[in-house]
Amino acid sequence: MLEIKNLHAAVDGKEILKGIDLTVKAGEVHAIMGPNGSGKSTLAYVLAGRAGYEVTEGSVSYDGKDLLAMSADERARDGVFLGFQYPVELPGVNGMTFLRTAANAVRRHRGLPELDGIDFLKLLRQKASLLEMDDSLLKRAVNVGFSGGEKKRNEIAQMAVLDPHLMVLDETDSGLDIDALKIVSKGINALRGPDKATVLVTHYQRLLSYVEPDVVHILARGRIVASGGKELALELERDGYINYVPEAA
Amino acid sequence: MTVVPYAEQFERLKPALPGATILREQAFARYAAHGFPGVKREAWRHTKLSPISGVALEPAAESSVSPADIAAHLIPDALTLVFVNGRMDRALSNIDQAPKGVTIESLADVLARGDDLSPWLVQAAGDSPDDALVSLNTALMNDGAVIRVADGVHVEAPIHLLFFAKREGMNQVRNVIVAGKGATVTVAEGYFGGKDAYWTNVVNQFFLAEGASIEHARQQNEGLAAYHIGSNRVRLAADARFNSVAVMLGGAVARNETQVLVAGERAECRLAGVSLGRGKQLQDSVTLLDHAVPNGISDQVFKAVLDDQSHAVYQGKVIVRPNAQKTDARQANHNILLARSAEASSKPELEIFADDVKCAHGATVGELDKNMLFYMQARGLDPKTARALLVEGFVLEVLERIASPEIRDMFRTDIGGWLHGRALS
Repeated sequence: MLEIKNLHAAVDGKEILKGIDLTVKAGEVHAIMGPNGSGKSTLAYVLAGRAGYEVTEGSVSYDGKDLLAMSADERARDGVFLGFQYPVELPGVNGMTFLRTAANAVRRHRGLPELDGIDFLKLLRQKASLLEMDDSLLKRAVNVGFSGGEKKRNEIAQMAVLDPHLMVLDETDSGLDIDALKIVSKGINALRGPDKATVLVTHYQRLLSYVEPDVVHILARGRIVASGGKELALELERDGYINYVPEAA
Repeated sequence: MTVVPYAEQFERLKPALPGATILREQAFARYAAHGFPGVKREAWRHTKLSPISGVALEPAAESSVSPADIAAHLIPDALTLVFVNGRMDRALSNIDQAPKGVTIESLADVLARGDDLSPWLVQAAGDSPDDALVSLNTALMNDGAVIRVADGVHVEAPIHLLFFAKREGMNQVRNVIVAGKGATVTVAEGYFGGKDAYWTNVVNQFFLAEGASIEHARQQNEGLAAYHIGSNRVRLAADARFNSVAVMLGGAVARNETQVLVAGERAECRLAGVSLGRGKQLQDSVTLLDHAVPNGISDQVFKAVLDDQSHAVYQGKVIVRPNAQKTDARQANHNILLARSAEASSKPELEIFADDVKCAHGATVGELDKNMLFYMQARGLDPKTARALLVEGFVLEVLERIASPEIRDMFRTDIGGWLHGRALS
């Protein structure tokens, strides 16, 4: 589903990603772990198509298409979802209006009929209940005045409604207490499927206790320096990044 | 002595103007002492009037609109007065349905029958050069609405004044709204026009007796070659409340100036505006809040969204007189530039002569937030839709101040139409 080859990317002229190779097949969950500044979030933004993240070399193929040739919104409509580490507040933009506009943009792209207000509300209620989310949050301006945990739940609710194929979750676990982590994990697991793939960018092992990855990669200084099974995450939890990034000691 | 613009017109037109002969002469003399306010006047610095001061315009010719022309602009169940080129169209107006305790009349009728409105009308303008166009309006006023709400009367239906401009020339409109003790009423104004170059010079006077409340909504959607000078004068007695929201979309040069005298204690004045600019439009919002007595509240929020080479101005002055202790006065002005070539000018001003007051002001100018745009695109929204939602979100705070859902929806539709016409990319 996702094939990244020799990906180099720079921000403000400074190279952050220095040759990433990564293949994610449909049905798989990959975790990308690494110390601060290793390039994890940069990789997530490059995949989502954020302006200012300049790809200098390499290729990314998504479902056989050239992902880098698509604009950020085209990628999203085509099934790529980025869960933000810091979800953005949109003052004055009603949550329902926003999400329904997004859902219908995706549905049009997929050749599905648009949802009217009532059908959309039904869909939203169903997805929100999965995340034990209060309806009233969705009627407010997007993320405005939400707690950290509410913002992250809102990300997963949006993901559930948009039903993407490739989910890139950037530190979705940060800032969550244990109960919220369980709920968010439940939401992510509910979206796993044979035709979907997930890339979890995370700092800590604890999310991986609830969302079990098929493959764990260690990203350091812009390159993947090790890949393995979920035991790799446990090793990192125990020993830190010392074996992979000497100066992280 | 140089002759001021419109001197010849005034001499020629005055025999046919309705009533108030002496008042008109006096007002013309006050106007003539100064002529048009120039850009050297601080309050008129950005309002360049040379096209209407250089060549004196004639009154726009009589014209008409059809029910179909106005249908899209009507507020459901409103008491509607339709004016075409500054003259009331009786057939399209339904003021005969005004409920008990409310009189709604054509200004021309009231003046022609010899009713003396001078005690009200003279309060609009002083001797300041800044008031010259209000005085010119008093001299040349042709028609408008006179609305009187008796003490204690709550008017359910909004009163809607709709102005259509169909030809070149000038429209000198005067509206007088008097709300008696404890009365409540909603007054909406709408201005629409074609492609012609014309000038609307409108003066609104609002008088609120003790405990009266007026909801005021103003929709300025003039043609893009038009000059629109709107001057509002508001007088608040004790415990009165004036809540005003103005949306400005039209005009080549448009000004909406509101002067409020907080004359009675515990009165509250809320002023808000949205300017949407494109092309080379100039949109000028000017306010003067004069707190003369204690315990007054004023709260202003003005926002502008500017594309192309348009320019929006907010000049807001708050005066707190020595006696006006415990005044709470707030001003906010926020601007979004959709194009680098657009311009916003912001000048909140405070003159405080009392020591126990709360006064706050803030102003910002910026572009749409790139983080927000990326977040929305990452959910599948194309850039144009994302920008439109952000702009709608930006102006929502102002629209939410409108109490009437029907008027709020009408304004929102106007703004949506404007956004739809923008490339926003």
